This record gives sequence, C-alpha cells and structure tokens, in this order.
Amino acid sequence: MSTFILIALTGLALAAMYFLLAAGLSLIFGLMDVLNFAHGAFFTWGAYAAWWTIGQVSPGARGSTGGFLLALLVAPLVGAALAAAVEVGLLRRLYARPIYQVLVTLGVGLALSQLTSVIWRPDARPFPQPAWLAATSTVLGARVPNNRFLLIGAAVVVLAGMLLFLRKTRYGLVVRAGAENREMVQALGIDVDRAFTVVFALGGALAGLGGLFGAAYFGAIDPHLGSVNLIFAFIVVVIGGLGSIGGSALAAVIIGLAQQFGNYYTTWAGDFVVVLLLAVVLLVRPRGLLGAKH
Amino acid sequence: MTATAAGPSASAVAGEPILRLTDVHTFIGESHILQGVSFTVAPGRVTVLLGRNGAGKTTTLRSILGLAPAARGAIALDGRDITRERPHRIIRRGVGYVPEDRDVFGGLTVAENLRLAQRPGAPRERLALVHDLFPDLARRAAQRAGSLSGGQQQMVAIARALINENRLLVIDEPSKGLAPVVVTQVTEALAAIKGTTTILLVEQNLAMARALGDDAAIIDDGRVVHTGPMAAIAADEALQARYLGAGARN
Repeated sequence: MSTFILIALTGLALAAMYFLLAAGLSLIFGLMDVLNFAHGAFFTWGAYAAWWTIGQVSPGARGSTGGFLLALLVAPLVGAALAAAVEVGLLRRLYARPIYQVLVTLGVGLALSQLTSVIWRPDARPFPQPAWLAATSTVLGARVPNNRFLLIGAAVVVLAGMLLFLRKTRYGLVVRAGAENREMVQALGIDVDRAFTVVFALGGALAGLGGLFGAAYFGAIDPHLGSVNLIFAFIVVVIGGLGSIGGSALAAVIIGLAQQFGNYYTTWAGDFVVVLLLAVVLLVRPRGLLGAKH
Repeated sequence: MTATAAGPSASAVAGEPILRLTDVHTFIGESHILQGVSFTVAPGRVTVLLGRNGAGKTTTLRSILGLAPAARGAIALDGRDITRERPHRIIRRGVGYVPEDRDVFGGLTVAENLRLAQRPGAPRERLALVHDLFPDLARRAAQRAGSLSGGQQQMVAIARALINENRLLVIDEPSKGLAPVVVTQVTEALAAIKGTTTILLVEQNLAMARALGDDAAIIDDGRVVHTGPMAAIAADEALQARYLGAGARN
C-alpha cells in the first residue's frame, strides 16, 4: 500500500511539473497558434535562475528558505523576460509564417540551452533545497519528499489562477476571443500585439516556475532539463486538447501517473505507455480530451 | 450622375465629410481588388455602398478599418489620415464595425461578447441602450453566443458596435443569411439609431438599403462608378440593372 501511495504521489508531482510546462504552451498556442519549441529553454533557464539565486543567498549544499522564496520570484521573472524578448524580437515578424515560427523557436531553444552549457558547464549540478523541502513526510506508511507536495500545490494554485485569469479578467477574455478569431479582436479596438506579448510572457513565467519546481523534483539541473520534459509537455497539450488549460491538467495527471506506474511495474514501459496513450487519443479523439471542435 | 472621385454628392451639402476615401487601391494577394475607390461619408447620415458580389464592397470596408491595408491612395477620418494606421487604433478613433459574417465569439457568452467590445471608459448607460434596442440580448446574457440563432448573433454583432459611443458605424451586409422577419427586426433597430451616428452600410437588400440610406455609392470592378441620393438610385431601374444585376434583392 505504501508503495502504491508513494508512486501515486510521485506521479502526481510529475504531472504537476508537466502541467506547469504545458499550461504556458497551451495558453500560447490557444491565442497565437504558435508551437513554441523554445518553451523548454525557458524552463531550463528558470531552473538555473533558481539554482543561481539560492546559491547567492545561501552558498553551500543546503539552500535556505529565504533563497528558495526569492527563487520563487526570480525563476518566473527570468522565464517571462526571455519569452517577451523572443516574442517582441523575433516572433512578431513571423505570425503569418508558421514554419518559420517553428524553426525560430527551435533555434532559440537550442541556442538558449547551449548558452547554459557555456555559462555553467554542461554537467549536471545538484539543486540546493531547504531542509524542510528535501525532508519527507509519511502518508499512509509512504515516506514522500515534501517537494512533491509543494509541486502539486503549486500546480493547483496555477490551475486555479489561470482559470480565474481566463474567465474573470479582460485579458482572459481577449485570450479566449483571440483563440477563436484574432482579426475580430483587433476590429474591436484591442491591441492584439500587446496581448500576444503579455500571453507569451505569462507562458514564459509559468515555464520558469516549472523549472524551479522541476529542479526540486529531480534534485539536479542540467542544460537539457527543459528539452527532455518539453516532449512530454507537448504530449500533455495534445492529449488534453490544444488550447485547453483544463484539458492539459487532466492529461498531465494521466501521463504522470501512467509514466510512474509503468516505470515501477515494468522498468521499461513508462515512456512507451505515454506514447501509446498519445496514439490512442489521436486516433479516437484527435481534438484531445477537452479540446474545442474545429 | 457618375463619379469616380470624391465629388459633389448629397453628402457634400451636409457638412465636412466624416470619412473620405481618395483613389484607394487595395490588393488581396496578387489580386488588385480596389482600383481607385473614392467617395465621402457625410456626418449624421447613412451612406450605402452598393454593388455586385465581388465588386469590392467588403474590401472597401476592410481597407477603411486597416484590416486589408490600402496600397495606394488616402483614407481620412475626421480629416485625419488613417491610411497606414493599425486596425485597433482606427477603431479607437470612434469606429464601430459589424462584419459580414457577424463573427461573434461563439465560445463567449453574450455578456462577455459585449464586455470585450466595450472600450475602457465607455459610458455604462450604453449597455442599457443596447438592451433597449435588443431586449432578447438582456434575457440571453449568460448564453453562449455560438448557440444563438443567426438573427440573434446579428444582434450581438450590432450591439458590440453600439456599446461604445462611436463617430462612425461600418456595417457589412446585416441582412445576409437572415430570415425576412429577422431582416425587418434588424432594419428597425438600425432605423432607431439612424440620426444618432453616422453609418456606412454595405447592403445588397435594396429594401433595407432604401429604408435606411440617405446617400449611396455604387462600386463596380473595384471603382466607384456612381454616387448620389439613395432615393434616386432606388428609383433608377436601368442603373440597378446595369450595376447591381441579380445580386440586388428587393
């Protein structure tokens, strides 16, 4: 029983991390129709920004609570700044050219990941966490690291925040309307370019935050942290339904649990089950679990 | 009367034009759609753009709004050149737009469609005005716009343009695809606001055009070939046969 609980909670924490990465992807695709392959790099930079911040505040193997709290601000800010720079500097000129968008975001993603190797060397580095975060709590006999609970809590807060943002704010209305008919949003006097930058930055902030929690989950960072997890985040977005935040949350839970249980019981089937689920959804319900009909 | 440039018309005697198009050329891809469109819209009046399908009426409206930017020529709103301005800036100068296919946001409720359209600072009483004009929308405020009938969606589209105090309303074929009884409702609603704002209307339904229009301009093959009072065009069957053909609906 305790093993089951441990795997389930670890799976939910993994799902939470996938969701933090996928939510930004889904938001950006929903409004802008951009498949952002640089998103993984924003995740990586969020992780490195958090690692650097904690290291500056509390040098040593064990991070302080103050450093971790400061990293909670810095990681999303770094992700948002990078995303805004990419949108304003590169993507804004390419909205009519989807293939160019893919190439540019792919290139930016590779370049940013490579830059982390150049600045901080390519080898993995342990991620310092406050003692209380690295400690474990016992749940029905299972000793579960506390960072799993924090990660799950953060994802729930982000999900609630995004649903509130989309349903209750004017920008949320713009995002939902823009996903349907971007030109008509402009024809109502709304500056779509500015909305794009805000949404792209928000997506980047979520990726940066995901990077911090991803680093805590894995206990280490390396330049490929984002690109490896981006693949699963894309699968989550497709299974959940492009542009659906609720769909991404549901799909992340399914993928996270399937991967953890698959890996535990077979040692090899975790990733295979994920790909199998993707294939089944694409065949049976191509618009995803909660995706809109087109 | 035939005119290919902004010349004397009924609008000219009603004061300085609120909108002036001068030799506007617009391309869609490689196609040269507008080939020198010129006309004016006088304040407080309803100007109807008439023409066959594909003549360039909708492209004219889209060029005015910056959605299909003019390659050459000049478009002035209240005397200010807006030819190169981005669409949202043109709209914020006080232009309301009702597109040809209504383009309501189907996933949003009626209330959300109106809230999105309402510019910051717009007077709150405009919502009451819209609900007075279209009581059905008040009753269906929480309903998804995508689940409304075509006529109700048209009301949402018009209401979105009326929710702000605009200098100019640009309305593209409001009768398109609607049942006759709904066309009557829409005509009555537009007649109710006539005189309170300036309207540029594209309409193939001659009965609606006649009921609402003060002035008219006929577009043929991307050029304005005739301007004059709407009543005179409505009475000229030879002109209608020549330029409007079977596309005009009575």
